[in-house]
Amino acid sequence: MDRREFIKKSLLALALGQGAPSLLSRSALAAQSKSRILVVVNLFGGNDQLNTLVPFRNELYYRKRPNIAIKREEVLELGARGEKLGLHPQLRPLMSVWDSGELALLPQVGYPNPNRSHFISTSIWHTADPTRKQEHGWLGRWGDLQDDPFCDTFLGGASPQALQGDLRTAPAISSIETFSIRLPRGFEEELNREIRRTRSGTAEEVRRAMLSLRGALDKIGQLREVKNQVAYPDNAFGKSMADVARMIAGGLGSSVYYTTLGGWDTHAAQPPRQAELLGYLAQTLAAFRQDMRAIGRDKDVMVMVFSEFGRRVEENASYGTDHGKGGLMLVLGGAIKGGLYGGEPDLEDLDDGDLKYRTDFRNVYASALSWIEADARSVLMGDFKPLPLF
Amino acid sequence: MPVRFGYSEATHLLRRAAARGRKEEALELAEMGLEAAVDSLLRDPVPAPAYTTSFTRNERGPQLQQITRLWLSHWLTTPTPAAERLALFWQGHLTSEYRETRAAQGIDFYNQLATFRALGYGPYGQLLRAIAKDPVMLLYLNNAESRKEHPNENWARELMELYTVGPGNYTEKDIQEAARAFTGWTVRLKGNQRLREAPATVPFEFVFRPEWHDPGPKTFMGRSIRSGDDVLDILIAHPQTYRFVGRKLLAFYLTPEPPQALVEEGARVLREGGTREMLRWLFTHEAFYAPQHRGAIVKSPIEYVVGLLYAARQTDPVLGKGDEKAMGRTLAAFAAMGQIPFDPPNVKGWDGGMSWLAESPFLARLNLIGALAGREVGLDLEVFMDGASGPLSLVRPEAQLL
Repeated sequence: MDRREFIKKSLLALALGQGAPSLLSRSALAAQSKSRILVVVNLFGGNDQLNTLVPFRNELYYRKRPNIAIKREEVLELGARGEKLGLHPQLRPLMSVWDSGELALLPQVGYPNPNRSHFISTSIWHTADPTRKQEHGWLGRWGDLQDDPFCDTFLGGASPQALQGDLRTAPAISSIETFSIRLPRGFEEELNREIRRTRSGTAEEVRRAMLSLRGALDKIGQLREVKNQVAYPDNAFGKSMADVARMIAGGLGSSVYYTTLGGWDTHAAQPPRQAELLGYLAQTLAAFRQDMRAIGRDKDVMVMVFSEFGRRVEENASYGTDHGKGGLMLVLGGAIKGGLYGGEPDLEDLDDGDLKYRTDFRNVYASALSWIEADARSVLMGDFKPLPLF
Repeated sequence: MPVRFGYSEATHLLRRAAARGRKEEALELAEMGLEAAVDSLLRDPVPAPAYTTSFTRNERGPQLQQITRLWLSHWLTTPTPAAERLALFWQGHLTSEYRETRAAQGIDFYNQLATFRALGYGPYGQLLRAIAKDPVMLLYLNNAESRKEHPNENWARELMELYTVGPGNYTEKDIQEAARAFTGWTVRLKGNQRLREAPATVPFEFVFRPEWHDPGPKTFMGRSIRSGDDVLDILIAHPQTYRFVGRKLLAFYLTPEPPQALVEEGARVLREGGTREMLRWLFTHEAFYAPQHRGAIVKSPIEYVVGLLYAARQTDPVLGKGDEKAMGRTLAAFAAMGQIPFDPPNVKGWDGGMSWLAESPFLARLNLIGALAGREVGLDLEVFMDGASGPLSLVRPEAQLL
């Protein structure tokens, strides 16, 4: 069954089985969802590469991290394709993805003249511009060229810079469940009247925010009946990815979904903290892949995970690590060519105590853009050779 | 040119300075005339009620509800509300996240708020020195664990990037040297009590541990220094600090993108006279009342809730029916709107501006109107928004503006 057929059938089942109004099925069918989807996960705070993709055969790693290194016997070995590296034990749910060749590991991704500030480095990743001249996001620049206000969707409070364009910003939906308007009688009618009256200055900007809220309410309301096919971990990131899956299943039509998982700024007591977060990440991504398989979309979806930088090689006095440079990216999906894109890190050849970057993140973005059939050259404002990720 | 100061200007001044007000107060300010009105708003703050708790050190969620309730009800009742809006500014500028600062208790955050209130109007250097030794900050940016063997750079970096001179005005080496200088600045529980045994009412206090400190010579911003105090001296003397902080104050009180000439002048007043003098200068400046700067700022969720509850003559900051779960619901609403008191999303604080009005946070705000159902008759929106004509006005764009 092809995808459109699948959506038609499932919406029909939905319309009949759960007594949804026919308007629902009609408007959902009208949604022109593109066939390929990019899901971006931003690990905010700077995830430590060395304790995620562990160089467990390297003595120097254990010497530089006497207290916080991942023990050899706990590391999940990646086998011959993984060189001499292994994964953090909390990433076990991703091992079957690795074994089936659908998980790409990209160590030491970064950019020239790295910056160790969270906000500057985040902004560089979001604008895809290390010279920091661009104000708009890389996906924002792409979104400016699209007709559909829901060409991309942010799962969370307010869309990050990556999704901010000159003409539009991705709608921010924190959750499908809570996204409904509950106003006393008369207020909603008044709101609809006020939305039509143009203003100037900041009041006009607020009116436009109301307009896009109004549009989003109508669109997201249609998704409430769509259910997940698998259970997700009961935490904010799990819920967020569960909603991404529902949006895909319900035919919202976004080509890009973007969400975040914060808390990676592990200056102190890193081991338990990072383990917890890696657990959330791996369990949720595994559930999401399963969900996509259940609705027949797994080969259409690329998941890309990044953090603004990696961390210092040597641990600090607080059982943590300070801000570093090159970091680890993960890409996974049913059509992804898994494997290690880059070798073992050189712990002797450091840049002021940090891993040097080896792959420019814009090469990875170029792959992600060509996945959604976007013109990588115009979005990235330069030629960046895509990695052969699919 | 002298500023024309009538009722309309008084509502604008009151809304900007205090984020709360009603018609009779605006009339009173207009009656006083500009200078006296500004002086009256910038009076020394009345202290907030003391905080105690019977919750344990592990029950930090309920403590956050308690200090939020205490703070916001103080904001709703104090005769000096402008000091509370300024304390909110400092909370978003000299940030510490409640969620991330796990050893600290409600009392520690409440004490930090008291510091913002007590020193908020004074010289910026004085406030910064106090915050550099504030237990919440020492715990939040990990300086409390920083030792000479492996200095922790978190505080040193954010001190320069976010609290003083801003990006581009220091090097990575300056961060590393400053981190060495601050080693040994740490905390202990008051009376040296033990963490496991102390009740949640026992706050942390600053302590200097010489055995953790790196006493060697260091070079910071081209100067030879030894201690953390030397680092603070240099940053407090740096003119860029006042441009950086002054711009943020103007974005908070005037317009998101303040004109460069005003930033320069404001920075000078801030440096020479302190924050109160800068606010006095701004509030009596004709630019402050210019049409393009009126309604130019989007209310933050805290300002929105305080303003709305005050307009409804409510003194307890709970939404909906006032049962035992009310404060939990209130905090959940703040989370949905994107601003939990005492808990900015990251060390940079709240982004503010139009980000408050992204789809989900904006929806959460509009849904609050339902919490006022049945009390529309007594609602006084004269100061809350420009051009109000009854409760239905709350769905107008203008209701979101400060």
